[in-house]
Amino acid sequence: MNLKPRDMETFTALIEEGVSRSAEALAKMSRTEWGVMSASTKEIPAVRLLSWFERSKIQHVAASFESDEDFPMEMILLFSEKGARSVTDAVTKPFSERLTRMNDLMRLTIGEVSNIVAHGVIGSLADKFDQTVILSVPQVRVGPKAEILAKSLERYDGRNDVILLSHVDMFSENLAAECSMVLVVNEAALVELFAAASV
Amino acid sequence: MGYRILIVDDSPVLRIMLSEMLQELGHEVVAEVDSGNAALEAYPKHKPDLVCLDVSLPDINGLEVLQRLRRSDPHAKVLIVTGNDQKTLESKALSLRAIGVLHKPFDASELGEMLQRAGIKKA
Repeated sequence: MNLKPRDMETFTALIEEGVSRSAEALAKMSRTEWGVMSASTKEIPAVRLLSWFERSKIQHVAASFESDEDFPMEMILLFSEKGARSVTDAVTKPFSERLTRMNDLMRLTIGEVSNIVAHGVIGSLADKFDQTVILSVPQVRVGPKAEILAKSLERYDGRNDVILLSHVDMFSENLAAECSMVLVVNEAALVELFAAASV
Repeated sequence: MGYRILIVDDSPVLRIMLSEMLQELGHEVVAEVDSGNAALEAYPKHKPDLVCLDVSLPDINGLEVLQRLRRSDPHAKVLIVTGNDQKTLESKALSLRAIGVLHKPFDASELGEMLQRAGIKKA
């Protein structure tokens, strides 16, 4: 079942609105400007999504979130290891040694930062559909992009599920850090949401 | 005198940040816990003046925790502290008589303003 072109336009506009909220949150936390380099939304079979990301072999620190059943989606935020380190330093700098000496600080900080950034986009969608979406706590993983995404896509049927992929790249010149945000929604579920909400 | 505060958040990073901001504002953090069930256990033990409660928790969500706290103590003061800025979530929290909803990210002055608006004064 495909999304109507008008609904696809609405969905894309909501993602774009949410992305600017996410970039603002990231800027506030890291005390420096973040820009959105690119944002795109496309239909893609689950199996093709992974091959899309397989080119990148460098290590990433990623946080993934699941939503509840009423509004099923996956959100994954990925930072290169170097970028994750810069973001962690910027976010934790004003706090005491109790924080900065914490074990596994980078993973924990990226989990919390990603949680806040993810809500920019989720909030924009939830408000439009008049729903409350409560995300899971973050699952933080380290590895190449495709490996991380494969874990997050386990619940999809690679051959039969058509998913909508929103892919956003944000960048901070001052921190020399980038953040990729991947939102995966099962298209059939989204069609149902549009029909039920008649937005 | 400052308030005695219980922090409920799955993120240890956020718990420390919030704890330091609250202490800077003159309040005392009596306990920090990482889940809804731990919050429900810690509340009667510490009898805090205020609970700072996250929504996304590993076991039960913050709204459910708030509902259960209300049943055991109808006068419990709870501030929702969350990255979730959805309109429906805010109205659900306020209908459960949360004293306010503070959206992450925030700094100490925004936290102080929120506590002041809710009638919680600086030490």
